[in-house]
Amino acid sequence: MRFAPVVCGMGGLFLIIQSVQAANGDNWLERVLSASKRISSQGIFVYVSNGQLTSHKVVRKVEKDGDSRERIYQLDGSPYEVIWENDQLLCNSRLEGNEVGFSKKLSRSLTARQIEQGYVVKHVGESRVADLPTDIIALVPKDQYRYAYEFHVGKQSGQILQSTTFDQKGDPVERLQYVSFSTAIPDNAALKPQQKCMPVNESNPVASDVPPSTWMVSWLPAGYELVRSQKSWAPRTGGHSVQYLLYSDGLSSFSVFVDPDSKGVVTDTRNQFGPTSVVSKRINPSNKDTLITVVGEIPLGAAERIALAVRPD
Amino acid sequence: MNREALLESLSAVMDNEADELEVRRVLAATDQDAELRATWSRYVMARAVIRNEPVMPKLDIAAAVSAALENEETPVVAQAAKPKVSRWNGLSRVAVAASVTVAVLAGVRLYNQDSNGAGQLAQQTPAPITVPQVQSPAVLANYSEEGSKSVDVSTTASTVDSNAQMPDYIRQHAQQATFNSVDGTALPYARGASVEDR
Repeated sequence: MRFAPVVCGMGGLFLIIQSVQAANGDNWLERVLSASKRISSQGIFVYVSNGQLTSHKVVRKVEKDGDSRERIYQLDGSPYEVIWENDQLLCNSRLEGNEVGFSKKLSRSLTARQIEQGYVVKHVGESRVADLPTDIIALVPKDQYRYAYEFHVGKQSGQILQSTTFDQKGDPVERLQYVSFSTAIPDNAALKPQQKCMPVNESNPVASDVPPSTWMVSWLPAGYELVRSQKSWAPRTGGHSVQYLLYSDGLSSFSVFVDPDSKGVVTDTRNQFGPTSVVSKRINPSNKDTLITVVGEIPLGAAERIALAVRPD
Repeated sequence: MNREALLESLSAVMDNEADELEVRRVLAATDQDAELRATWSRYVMARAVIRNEPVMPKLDIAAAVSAALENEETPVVAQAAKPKVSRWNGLSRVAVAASVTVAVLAGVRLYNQDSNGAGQLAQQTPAPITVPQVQSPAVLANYSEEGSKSVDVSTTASTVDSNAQMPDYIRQHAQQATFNSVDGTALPYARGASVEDR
């Protein structure tokens, strides 16, 4: 019988979580949140998702005054390259010219508190990744609306050297793992773009202040907050503008697209690409077809429930 | 049909692991078999207790599931697409699983008011989500063959070609998610790279 073990397993694990919950968590989370950006480093990681394995190199240089520059590029398949400077996206090789969008990272000040609303953080053991000793930190979701994460954090660097995302059945849906990592300071040459790398034109500096929007998600899992909202976002391939909303629980995020005048969509869809769930639902208030699409690294069922909760404000 | 196999199928339905045939077999059997109906109710109750949801005493799940299956829309095949058999199998699996869950949980919702507050009923809050949750994933688990296979199975390509903007939506999300990451830029970057590769 397939159901019984799940029942027993859930009960047992629940007790374990309860007992460990209080013991640790906060400091580990703080460590992960603060450490990785402060040091110069270089490394190569592999990423597995959706049955695909890719490899990437990351080079980061932090100056004495705190300024940092980071370049990540793909080592196999078609070239892909992204450069960050002080939490601002400098360029992205897959962008076409004149693309308008956001380029600044969001403030991180709330994330530790926010993450603890959705996850239990605990230290579960020690391991070794890329020939470096690590601590294993588990982020176990408090409800069924998000994935679980397991981070292997370098003992010296505080860098996440391995990150695995698990679905609700405990199956891994993606894994990122460094195969080499060092805190050697990289050459400036290694931080220069090697190919055509296009900048983003900042669309509107106040756009990230979350202006009131006409559509909202009326139900959210605990800890999720609206972090970005754009009343009119135009897809790159043309077509009319849609409303765009981005929600985050500090660790996972999902986007909501509201197309108030959708034509030709025949039926509702649900798709999953590795960790990314995509759910489209059609509703028609006042006889106008509106297509709600939720895209995010959340379980398919959560995306579905969120899509059903999108309402006019 | 042998009873053990039937119970096995019922478990699969509860776990959202049943294929369409299994769901229909279980539904057909519950029509005649009061004992099986009772077993199903017990499973649902057990799950409700574990999840700390109030239990519904007498809910005819089989009837609700049958009704949901009848209302299930048939996916429309894009003309240009060459449907692969395995892909469509995967799709019907997802569709059936969702119907069953919505039907089962629609009942739970009605009995779930005291924790959610009465206001939500008026808003017609949708049913909670699908898969029975294992609270803690296997920490330290290896990236098993089985795991990566199940990822493949759940991967269905876009089912309807008319939502032409979907790739753009996925790309936009991947890009925006990088601005909101706590775990360094590597993970959202890698997700974005794999989106671009698709």
